[in-house]
Amino acid sequence: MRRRSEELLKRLHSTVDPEEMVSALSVAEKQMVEIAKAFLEDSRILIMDEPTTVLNRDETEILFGIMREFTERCGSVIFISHKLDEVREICDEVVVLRDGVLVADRDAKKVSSRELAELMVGRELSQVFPPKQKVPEDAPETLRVENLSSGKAVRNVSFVLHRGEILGMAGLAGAGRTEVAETICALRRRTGGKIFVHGKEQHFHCPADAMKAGLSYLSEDRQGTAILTGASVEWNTTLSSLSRYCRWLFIRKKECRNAAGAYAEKFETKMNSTADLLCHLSGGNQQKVAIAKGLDTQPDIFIFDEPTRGVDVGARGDIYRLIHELADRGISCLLISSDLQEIIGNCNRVLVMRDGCLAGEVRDDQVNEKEMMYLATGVKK
Amino acid sequence: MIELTPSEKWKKVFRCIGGPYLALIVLFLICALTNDVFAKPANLINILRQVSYSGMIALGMTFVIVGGGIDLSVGSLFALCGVFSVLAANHVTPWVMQSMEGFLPGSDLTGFLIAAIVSVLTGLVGALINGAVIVLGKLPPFIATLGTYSIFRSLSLYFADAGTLSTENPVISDFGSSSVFGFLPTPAFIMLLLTAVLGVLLSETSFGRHVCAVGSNERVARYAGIHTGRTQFLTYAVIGLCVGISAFLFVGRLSSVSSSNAGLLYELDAIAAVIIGGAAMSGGRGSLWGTLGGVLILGIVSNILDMWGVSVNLQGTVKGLVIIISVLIQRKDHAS
Repeated sequence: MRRRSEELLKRLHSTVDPEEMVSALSVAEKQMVEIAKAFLEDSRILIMDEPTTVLNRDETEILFGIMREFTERCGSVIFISHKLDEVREICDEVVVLRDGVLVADRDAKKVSSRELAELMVGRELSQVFPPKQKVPEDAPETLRVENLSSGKAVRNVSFVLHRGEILGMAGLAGAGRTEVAETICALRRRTGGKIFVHGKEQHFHCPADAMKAGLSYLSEDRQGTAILTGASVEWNTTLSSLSRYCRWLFIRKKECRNAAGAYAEKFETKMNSTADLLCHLSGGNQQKVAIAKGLDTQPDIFIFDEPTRGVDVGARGDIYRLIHELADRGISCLLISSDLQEIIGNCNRVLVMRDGCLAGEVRDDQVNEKEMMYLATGVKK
Repeated sequence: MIELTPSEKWKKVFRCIGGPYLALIVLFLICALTNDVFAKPANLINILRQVSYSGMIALGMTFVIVGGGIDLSVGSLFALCGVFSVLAANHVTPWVMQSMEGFLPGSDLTGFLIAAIVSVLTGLVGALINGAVIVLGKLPPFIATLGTYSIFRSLSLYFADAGTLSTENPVISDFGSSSVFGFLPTPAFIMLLLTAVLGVLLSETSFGRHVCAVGSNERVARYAGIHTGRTQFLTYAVIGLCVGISAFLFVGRLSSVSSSNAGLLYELDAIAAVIIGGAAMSGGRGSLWGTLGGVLILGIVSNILDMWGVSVNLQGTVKGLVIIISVLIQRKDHAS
């Protein structure tokens, strides 16, 4: 059994030790084990739902190699993905589903990403990304982080965030971006460094302190840490800000309902009522509720961690527009993302992380894939 | 946005609390039709009194279970509360009377107050020890309370010399066998009162909502800025309070407490009632009125089995079946 798994993992070019506990692996490694398991069973048809979301480019290439091998041996693969380039690269035929209806069936080699995206959204994609706005030079500082450290995951990270800015944070999986955000918000123990909000040094002891100081964090693990899937839209929206809806000890439920309804209307969240359970909503709509929850604490600083992971193209555009709107209103946004296009489309200034350290900063016309990859992989120091 | 139609609303209300009550009505009809004595007011009042002691604990247990925990120590803590309460009434009262002569009402009333306070405080302190071990020591609730289950029982055996303690205080015994409105036994009245008060606490307050959030996903609750530890700690305070009150009423009923038998298996009765009442064992979902339904179902089942003359030894089997079947039915409900 050990030998068999070793062989399989080797074919996936995975360095995972077969005796290792899965819980000790990174998200990407877990995914590789999952994929190995799927190939292990001698199946003819393999359905893969977003297998590459957590994989980096190299790992994705390896997976594609194996998929090709598999199809050559008379196997068939149904590949479900949001990543349109990958769909065009690996698939022969592509069908587009929208709101539960099959809307198109195309030859994958002939269709363009743009056409696919438009089919998915159902309207012409004028622009996924809203126009970038330049933050004035003298915009006041809202968040300053100096030599932030948290064990080995975050080491000596320093940066400044300005009012109304959308600051990008790029890096490979495991570079410590999420950990930086978690350390700032006191979700992870800070072992060193200082945090200033509006110029005042802060010592957050618990996540609630950070929230009180005006920080809001949208976590990358939506189902695990951002929303209660078994609870209603109303509940989730007001989860962090419940004290505002209380008179004495009692919750004023009508106000909760109205607030949740107002957010849903503004974000165009698709649902029947605010009493809907989150598990009945799509990923994009769940994400909108999660953002509403963060916004309802009335933050000055909003950290978005992978805000569009597992979100369909239509909702993705909505979320970008929302982020820009927040920035226009003077909220400072930190946009953490593995999707370089997303960073390039939204940010004028980008921090690049590598191995828990800040590898560098790029701005303006340097914000392109090449520069960021150089920094993220350590080719350029 | 689509508003819920009235029928959908009722369906939701039914799903929240109706399940156990529907079963309760069916059970009641079956019992009333098969036995002449069952539906007589005296018998029904008797059932209410019988279930009220473990029933109050079940109400507290609802908070603990909805908050994602469990408390196995309540039966032992119940005995300890009783033992301390009687000891205080017998030994502390004369001392207090002596030292504060002239300031206090009659010695019997003072003894009553002391016994009540000691019982409730013992319950609170015991439960807070559980809470501290679980929250600060980060032990799984099952293990922590399994430990204190043993500790509390052994302490009550030690302080009572493994025997039965009794008190001569007439105020305590009068209170324990008193009635409200002329027919409702005081313990049953307090159980109903607690159901209403705790019901509001769970469904209408931010504390209640935080309990549900922590129980359904502690990580989400933490990321949402909820003080998860404090919330869990408080759920144990709630159950401790319930145990203290219940134990004192129990002492009043019998004017005595057996250190080895008092509260025996109450933890299982309480957990069973919470589950029959529709709460999820994994936390996050449950209601006090549902639990009350569960308490009544268990009480009626054991009462009717007595009436039918079923062997006491077989009653556990029926109780077990009731628990299993009720959960099976509920699971089907939620799957659809």
